[in-house]
Amino acid sequence: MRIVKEFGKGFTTHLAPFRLVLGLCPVLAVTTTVANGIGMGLAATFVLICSNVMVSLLRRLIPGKVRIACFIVLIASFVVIVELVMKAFFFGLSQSLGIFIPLIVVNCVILGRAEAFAARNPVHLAAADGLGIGLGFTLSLALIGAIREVLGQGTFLGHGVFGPGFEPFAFLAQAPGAFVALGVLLFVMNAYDRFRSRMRA
Amino acid sequence: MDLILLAINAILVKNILLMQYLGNCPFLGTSKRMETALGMGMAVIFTLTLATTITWVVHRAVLVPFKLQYMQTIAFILVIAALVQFVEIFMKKTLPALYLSLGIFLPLITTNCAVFGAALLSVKNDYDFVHMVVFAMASATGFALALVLFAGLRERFRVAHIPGALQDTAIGLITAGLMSLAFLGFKGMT
Amino acid sequence: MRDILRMVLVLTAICLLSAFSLTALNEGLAGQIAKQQRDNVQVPRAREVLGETPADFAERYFEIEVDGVSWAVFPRVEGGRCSAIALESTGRGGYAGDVKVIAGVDLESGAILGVRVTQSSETPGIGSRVAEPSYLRVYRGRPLKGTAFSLRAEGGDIEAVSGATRTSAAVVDGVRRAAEFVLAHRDEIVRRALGGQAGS
Repeated sequence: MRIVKEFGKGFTTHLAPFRLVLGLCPVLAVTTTVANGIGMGLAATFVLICSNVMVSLLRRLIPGKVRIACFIVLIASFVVIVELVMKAFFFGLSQSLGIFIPLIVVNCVILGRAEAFAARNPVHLAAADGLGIGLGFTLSLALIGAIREVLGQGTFLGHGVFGPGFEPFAFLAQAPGAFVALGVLLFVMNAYDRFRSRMRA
Repeated sequence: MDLILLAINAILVKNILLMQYLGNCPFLGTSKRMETALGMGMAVIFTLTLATTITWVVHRAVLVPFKLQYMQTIAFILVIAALVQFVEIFMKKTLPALYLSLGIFLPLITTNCAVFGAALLSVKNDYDFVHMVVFAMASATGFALALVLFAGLRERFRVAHIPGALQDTAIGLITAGLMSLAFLGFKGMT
Repeated sequence: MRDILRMVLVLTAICLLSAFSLTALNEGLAGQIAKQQRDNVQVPRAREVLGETPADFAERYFEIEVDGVSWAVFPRVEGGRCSAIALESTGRGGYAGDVKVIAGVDLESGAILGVRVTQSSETPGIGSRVAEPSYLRVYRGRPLKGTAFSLRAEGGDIEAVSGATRTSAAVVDGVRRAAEFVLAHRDEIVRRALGGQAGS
């Protein structure tokens, strides 16, 4: 089933931000805790799905020359919707994510998928693509957030994990730790890929 | 005096790229060679300062008086997109060599989180005009600085022996992390 | 020609559709957003300056408009009396912009209960020291009528944080405006507070 395939690739070949190396800014900034990572991931997923669906619906109407401008207006609109809803109902999360919510507009993943996929495919496939990549992104954010929160603060979703004697790697909770954590994860993934292809050969 | 403090803060202590995480996509993409990094850095300094100034004016002159702050995101990104378009056209006519060497990276400045982020930050921090301009130029300089430093390091990687899985982006990120650690040492300076 | 027309039309249509939906959404959510902002930013600060507050403190919030300026007031109403209020005031003249403060006023003794800074973009480091409760204690107990709300350097009663004169001046300006407002409109404030209507 094509729709399942389009959905599934968001977790494998098109996993953001590891395989689909885009949208790095929020990844580094909001993954200080799992909760923030998931919050950002879901917000971005919402925007991605909506923008993919909209772009797909309007794909025959939007003239080629102004398509990027149109995509940007559409994406920005959904981002503003997310901003308003968050400020109204999820104040704490909107404060922790701060300017990275409006920054979803320039998240290359969303613009990239609109241009590369949604503009050339029917609505149901565009929606599946959006959902898959969005959820894959959320999963990645949660994973990085988990590593940084558990090792960097000693908590998981706010609950203490280790005993009181645990000295957290404060390094991970701050900027440098984010870069290094992402780099190491990427290294592990690449190494695994190479190992697998060598096994197959 | 406080302007100098503001500038140092923006360039070093709260470096927009290494500490505020803004502008990472072009960071990893254009830092492989020194010339591209320098060109990108210059282009960002120019567009970021201009974009922040214009969006600041739009915010104060249009959004606030008409209570349209919620439209901030859309208004700002449209200003930036239009600005980059004009810069492209202008550069094509007056500085064709630079235009060609920047290539696709020029339009990509539209989606540069650093530009949009700086515009958002200067409004969020409620700076007045002079502080805003200093903040913008300093932030962009910080970005360019980090970019150029990083490019210098990466050029060395070409002749270093790096295990396959670490190559390219992975080692790039870890190096950026170490640079960020170095910049963390500036904390407490102001 | 037709192409350009089509481009303009489509882009305009999308912009209009977007503007329309967003405005509608904003209208719908504005009240909720303002409430969240109040409950999470102003109310905790107001509680800090007033000390003990009754359970329905947050609901008693109201706004008074005077000369085109809207004042946010958080009254402490207990046993049918309004004993104190916290109000948000904007102080001008900071280094990099205005400074928002919350001043707590004891209406019975006519003195300041406390001051907190809610929003400031001053230079980090020394500038932010002005927001620390240990400095802001300098306002505690100052009578509204007798105090000269300006800096010592200008002949007033309030010391500045050394090295952060302009920021301190902005805070003093905010407190001064709040004091003047309370002195001028005390009865109106008490009347509105006891009227018991929540919201603006």
